[in-house]
Amino acid sequence: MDKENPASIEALQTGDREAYARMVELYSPKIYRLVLRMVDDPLEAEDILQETFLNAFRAIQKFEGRSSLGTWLYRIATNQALMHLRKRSPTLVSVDEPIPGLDDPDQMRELVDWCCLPEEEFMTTETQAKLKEAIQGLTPALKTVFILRDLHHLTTRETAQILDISESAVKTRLLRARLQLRDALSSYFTELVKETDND
Amino acid sequence: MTEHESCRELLQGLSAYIDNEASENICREIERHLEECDNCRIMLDTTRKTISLYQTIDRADQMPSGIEERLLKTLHIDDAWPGTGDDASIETS
Repeated sequence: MDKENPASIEALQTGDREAYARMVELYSPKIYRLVLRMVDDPLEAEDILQETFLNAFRAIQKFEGRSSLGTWLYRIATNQALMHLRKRSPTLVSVDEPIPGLDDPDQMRELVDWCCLPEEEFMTTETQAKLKEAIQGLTPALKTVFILRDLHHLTTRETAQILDISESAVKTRLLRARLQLRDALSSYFTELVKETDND
Repeated sequence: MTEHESCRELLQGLSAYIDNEASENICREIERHLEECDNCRIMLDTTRKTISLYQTIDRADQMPSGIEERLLKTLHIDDAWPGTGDDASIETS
């Protein structure tokens, strides 16, 4: 994420309302997309967006510039979204799905190459729903890393800073998230390949 | 090394390979294994496709209009953009 002009940080810290509005304009679409993907509920995403900027405004004096302003905002937003997810199911213990081939090498099974499906098969409403269902099936820990790294293109280091975890934990979670999503989609796409072959 | 062990090693290095972060040696090993193992080649291709499908749906999700306006109102800065030059401090309570 780009480093901001120190003058804009100074403007924010002196309460410059135009600088606040500029920060909202610059970051709110990204933050909204991030939290919407995390909580999968537009109304809740809007609440989290508001909480994020309210918290940021309250805490801006404490911002020391060790990370970029964007990374700092992402950190606040991610924490808010994770808190919402915990409130939804406070007693639920998240467990990662075992990944065939990775957790047990003997489970490696014959795979079907579904990349060859016609492009329009990937665009159907049913496929889009399947994609959303699969990502919501990830534990919050895996989902957050996947969203930050693969959808928002943050670096491993930025993601580690946002989540306050090690870079190696980011890499492990990203691998598990990608493979779990691939696995979740594969049974659906494999059926489509079979149907296409039978036509 | 058994075939399954090679496949497992490839899986462990898959993310780094996709992100072009694997060392040259690891890349060479992965590519050698991919030439011989159809299953792992499919694993690589379908994982790349999975990521790209999510990137496509994510790009399509734009923030609906009205949200930014409501946000600026909540933050009491709806009159500050584009710059009105008001220096009053922010109310966040």
